[in-house]
Amino acid sequence: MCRMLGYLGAPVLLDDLLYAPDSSLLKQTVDAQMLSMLNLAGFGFAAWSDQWQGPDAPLCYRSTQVAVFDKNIQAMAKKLSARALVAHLRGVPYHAATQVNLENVHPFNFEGLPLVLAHNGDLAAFSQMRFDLVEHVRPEFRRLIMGSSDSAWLYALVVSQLESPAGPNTAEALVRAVERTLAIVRQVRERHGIRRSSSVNLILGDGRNLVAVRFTFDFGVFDVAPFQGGVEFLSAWYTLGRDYGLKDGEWKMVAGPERADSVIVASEPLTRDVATWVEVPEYSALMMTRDEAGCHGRVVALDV
Amino acid sequence: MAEPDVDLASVTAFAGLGPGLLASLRASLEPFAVAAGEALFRQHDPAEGMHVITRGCVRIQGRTLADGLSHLADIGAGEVVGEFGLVDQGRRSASAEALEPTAGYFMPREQFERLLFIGDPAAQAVAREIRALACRRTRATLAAMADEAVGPGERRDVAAEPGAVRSRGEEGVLEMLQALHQFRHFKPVETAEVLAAVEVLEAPRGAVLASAGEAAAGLWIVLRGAVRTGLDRAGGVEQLLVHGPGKLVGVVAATDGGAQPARLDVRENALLLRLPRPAAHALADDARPTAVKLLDLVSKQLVADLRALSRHQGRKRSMAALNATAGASAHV
Repeated sequence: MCRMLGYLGAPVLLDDLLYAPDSSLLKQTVDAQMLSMLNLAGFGFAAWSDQWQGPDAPLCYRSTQVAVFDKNIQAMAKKLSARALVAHLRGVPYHAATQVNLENVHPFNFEGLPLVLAHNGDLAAFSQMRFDLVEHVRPEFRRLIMGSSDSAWLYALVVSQLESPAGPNTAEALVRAVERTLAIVRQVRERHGIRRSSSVNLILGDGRNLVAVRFTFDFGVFDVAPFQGGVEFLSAWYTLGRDYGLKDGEWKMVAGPERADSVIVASEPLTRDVATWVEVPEYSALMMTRDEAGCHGRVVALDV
Repeated sequence: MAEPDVDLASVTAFAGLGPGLLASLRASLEPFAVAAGEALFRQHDPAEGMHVITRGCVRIQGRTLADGLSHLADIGAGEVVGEFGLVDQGRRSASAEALEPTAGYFMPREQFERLLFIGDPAAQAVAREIRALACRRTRATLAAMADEAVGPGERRDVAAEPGAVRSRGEEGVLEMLQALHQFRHFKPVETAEVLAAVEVLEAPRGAVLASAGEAAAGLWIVLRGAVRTGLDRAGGVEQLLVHGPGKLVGVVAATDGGAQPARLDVRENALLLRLPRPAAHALADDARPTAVKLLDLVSKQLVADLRALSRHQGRKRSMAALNATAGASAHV
């Protein structure tokens, strides 16, 4: 399992999301509050800023270093402000068969496409499914899949289901692409008789939209010892507001939902006090857009 | 400290306790006193017990998204605060601050649980009152939700031809039950007693366990798969809760004996244990350890579900407020 974070709103210093809060994403490398695993297999982020060259294209950073020891992230985080961010800490089973390499570090992004994707969870028996998924990936994207993990293929599937992968897309279009992807995966699972609980929590972003998906195939179905993600639905939380920062000793947004211009979504809250956070419902997607009309969004059901 | 202004017998949570039980209960209570403006507890603090207010007044407030503050209630003498903290090992869902000098008694959860598990009648009576309160609040919350709008995107389809629920043999079930952390503190003989009292059911995705308004059919324990609690809406169901392995479903109707307050259907192919209604209802008067432990799980589930429903309601309202301001076309 992994940890991930998405942000959309007024420009914010990356340090304020990645390091500063008392349960910041980087602190979750070794001290996640809602996960009983370490997340040691790499870190990556995609960020967007109107101040950077090509503001619609994300700045991507990936490293296989244990994130808390990576001085480069820390140096960048203290200098860069972004209006949108998708970041991911990779956690994998403690097993020599696991591939820890740059190609499997999230968020995934094909060059030239605005959409990035981060995944928390795993598809059971993915090696049985992989080759059945090829036909659902657009030919031009098949050769771009460098990662061996289920997550790399989920990204390729999602961008393949978009009518316009190069964008621009609406949040609704992103959610429809996710629904089609989940339907494909469900079909392939059924074809192979795969019934084990498999979590597909996702954060997708393209700089203008942010989508967080909380979904599990066959939740609660397992035949071996209970495992996290089988007994408990993997978490995803969000908070809304404006003027994110340290206030009264707490990292939070203020001003009430009616004046919100920013959203943070994460696999768990960035603060140990979760009072100003709420869960993304199970089998649902939170879809947020920031445009001329302001920050708006909704929660939709994923009845796949 | 000064003697309390209110006799414990008049405290709602202690209704029906005779002098003997009240005296027994009083021995477990610790006096407390706070000045005006002082907090009894803050939201997100570990829930360590219940306060009985005998003098003064306490304001209950909850923080919401974007640091909003919601005034929930003012609690005065003769009432209790944080009662769900007696059965729930979670965190406070709101803050309690004294509006004036306030005094009373505190009942620590650990002490309460100890009394409950040795079969203390006073503790059992308090637990019964807390369950009844949780049921009333759950029904009130569901009724309020039913009156609120739901966006088309939040409705989920209902299976056109849901599969049938069917009985299954007990092979492997005992081991599955014992492996669930909710049942780890049950002795093998107690788990066997649970199994002897239930019916093992296989329920396919989409199967309806109970419809809103129908008579209680009992209590379900989810062994595998997942059950959804939802509100019937035009064209679909609004999902409220999803319960996976180890969770109990149908707890409100099984506890208060009323009609099912919501629809229960199977979200993922499930293996369930159904405790029939008479057996579920009899738990409250059964002093055997198995019944006491099962009833404790019911109490915890009632409180957890009520907290989750409140969060669902808060989430919907905050998104509606956000979209109303942004002028978005799509509203929740």
